[in-house]
Amino acid sequence: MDIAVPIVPMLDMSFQLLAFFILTFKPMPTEGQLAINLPRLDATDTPQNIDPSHLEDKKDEYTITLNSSADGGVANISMKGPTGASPDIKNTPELLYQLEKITPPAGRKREEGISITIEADDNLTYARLIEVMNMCKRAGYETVNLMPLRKEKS
Amino acid sequence: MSHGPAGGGHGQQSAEPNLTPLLDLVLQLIMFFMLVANFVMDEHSVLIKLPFASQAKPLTTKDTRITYLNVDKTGRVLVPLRDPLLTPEEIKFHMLTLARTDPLGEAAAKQEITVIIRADKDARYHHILKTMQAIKAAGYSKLQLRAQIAENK
Repeated sequence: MDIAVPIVPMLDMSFQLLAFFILTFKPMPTEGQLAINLPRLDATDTPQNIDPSHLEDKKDEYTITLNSSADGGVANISMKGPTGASPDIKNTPELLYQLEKITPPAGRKREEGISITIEADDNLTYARLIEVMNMCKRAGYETVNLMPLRKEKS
Repeated sequence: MSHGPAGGGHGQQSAEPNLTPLLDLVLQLIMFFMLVANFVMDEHSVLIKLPFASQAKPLTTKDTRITYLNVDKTGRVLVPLRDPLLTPEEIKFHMLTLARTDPLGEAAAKQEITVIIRADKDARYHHILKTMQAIKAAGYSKLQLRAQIAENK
């Protein structure tokens, strides 16, 4: 005599479960990272991530200042380097152009000779910040520093 | 019982399909979807809508030790299975607890672990700074901001 295991109800249930998991499945979007240096805790804190072997040759420091509008968008971009402020920058493509124009100190690569600091308004949204960081990276600067906006500016 | 042979009880031949391989396959699929679903729930909060960046780099095999901090648009840090962290002190305490309970030991964990901030695209700059300063205060040294990789933008 043949004893059959009732497999059909089991299969029914399995299909139910399968349908449930397929319907609740949400494929993860591809995500990636942008590297940043940790900010200084206050003015007395020394900058981080300085390679001790390169401590003697100082980097050219450029500061990108982002003022935000009330809704968190970028209202005003300005960039200041060792040779003075860059001309008016109206939007992020222009910022990219200005960043690409920077010449690194003689004999050093762009990434090693230049340090970029972003100073932004408290109100700026993360999306706009990432957009500017994206431009920095496109221009060849892998890592940027983030700082709060200095209230008193000369 | 309805699962008898198709041609009545007295025939020699059975026309019933063999369902066992099908069941095996279905269980395999269920297992796959269950595992993937749990992985997503664990550290990637679905409440966070990331901004796009074309230059963001995916994780490499070099980054073995990673922890995520999800910052929502009101600046709260979402932690799985716990209440959201609101103040810098709470974030710092959370990060310190994470380092202390790490099998590597506290000091090595702070050096090795890469902290990835997943912030909502509408989160404000001061929320990010607050979180970053708390991570710094806890003693971590590697930090990255996460974005969704866009084709061209």
